[in-house]
Amino acid sequence: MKEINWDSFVEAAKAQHRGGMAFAKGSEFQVFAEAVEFLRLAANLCSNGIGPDPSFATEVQGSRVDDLHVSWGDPVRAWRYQIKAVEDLEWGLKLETQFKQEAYFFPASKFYLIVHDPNVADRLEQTRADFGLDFVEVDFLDIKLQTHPFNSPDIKELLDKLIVSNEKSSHHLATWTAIFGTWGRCRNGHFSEIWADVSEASKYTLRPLQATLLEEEERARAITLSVGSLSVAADGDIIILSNDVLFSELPLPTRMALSDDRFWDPMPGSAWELLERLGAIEDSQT
Amino acid sequence: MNREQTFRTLIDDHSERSELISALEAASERLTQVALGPIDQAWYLVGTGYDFSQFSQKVAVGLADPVGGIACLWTEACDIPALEGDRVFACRQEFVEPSAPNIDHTLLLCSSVIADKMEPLTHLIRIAPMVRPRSVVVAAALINVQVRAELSRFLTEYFGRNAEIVCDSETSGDLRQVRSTIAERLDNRRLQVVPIMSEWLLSRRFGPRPEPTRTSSYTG
Repeated sequence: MKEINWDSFVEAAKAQHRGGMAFAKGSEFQVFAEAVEFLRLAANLCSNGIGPDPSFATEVQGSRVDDLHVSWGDPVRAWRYQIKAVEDLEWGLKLETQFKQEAYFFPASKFYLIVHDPNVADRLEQTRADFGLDFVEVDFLDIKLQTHPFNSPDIKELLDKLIVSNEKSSHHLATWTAIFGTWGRCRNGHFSEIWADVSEASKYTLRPLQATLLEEEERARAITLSVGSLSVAADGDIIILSNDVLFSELPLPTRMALSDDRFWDPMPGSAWELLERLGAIEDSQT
Repeated sequence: MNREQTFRTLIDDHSERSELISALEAASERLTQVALGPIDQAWYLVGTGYDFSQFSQKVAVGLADPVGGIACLWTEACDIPALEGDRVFACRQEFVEPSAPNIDHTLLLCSSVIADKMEPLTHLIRIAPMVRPRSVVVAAALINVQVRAELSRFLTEYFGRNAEIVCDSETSGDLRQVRSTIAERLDNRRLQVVPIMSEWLLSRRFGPRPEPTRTSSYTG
């Protein structure tokens, strides 16, 4: 038997998934690019702390530019995206006018053009100054990634920041699907609301992106000390139990569970007692 | 319970919990006595969380050859409304023992019902790179024939003749609802907020379970 390259084995196993997106017909690349931007922002919030709650809008009415619009409270400072999958795309009259009009009204905004191909992006990047469009950041998202984005190193790196488990690779497919599926269904709304839906779609295997209260962290530490063989951590709305073999993300109403003094009195003194307390163990009597 | 009765019990959504347990026990017995072994390596067994006690555990206990390690993955189908095609599976809990060092393993993926190819593939993605098995066996009480064919094609590409799918019964019918019904019916806990865990499995890591207090489950 030939030696198996386990990295390609994992990629091939994930690529066995046949999945389309019912909502995406006719605008596949745009929805794909929007979902990647949403993912990028989620990963960024995860790394840099949960700050403001941006809102997303697509195809903003009355706007000439926005395929995607990310607002940070002040409309003047929004992020405004054009997303194009056109082989012979040029700045030309339409694109130039669209960006310039928006920049006139909202000079403090950030402007992005996302295209489907690196060569198109290079060409537009090199010529943007000729049209007075230096303020537009040109980026590309390889359209070929649409088939199996969960195998792309760049997208995996973003997903990794959001997956709770230490072992990330077996979560990439489900995580990407939860993000893409949820985004494609709404494409509008506040980040926190969309993320709550993403968390549910992922079966709560993603970082909740909510701050954990100090009181909850202290309780988790106290349980860990008391239990000994199982570490307990709080992360927003989930409790994480882990040791050398067990890893569990429990979507308990954490805030309620961790802050309820009666529930933790007496404190569980072993892993068995903790798991019993959480109602995890099968009832062998029935 | 014979094979025909087992099949009928598993697909009947009115089957009682005790009948399902008997059916899975009968299927696991037939599999361990006829289809699984002997091998010249150690097994590394991977089971699903919802039916571990009733199926994978029975298989593990019934195997004639040594078991070098056990894993249990609590995979759940994700409900993504906009998705067409294969379901994907999220895993929010895992129990994964290290594989015994310096031993070749045969990876044994056990699940009472295989309704989707992505569920065993999710298990493979998690465990195979760690165990690095020379061969793979998928064992089920019931499998969908199309899923079996697609799974077999993929496994054969990587493991050649060292890949095998063994099952007690197979059917062309859609088994997704059957899997959900069995998962619901096997869970006999009063409160089902966290995934169900097998006492036998936990005792491999935490030692024997002390006398349960049975008075402190969470009621909010």
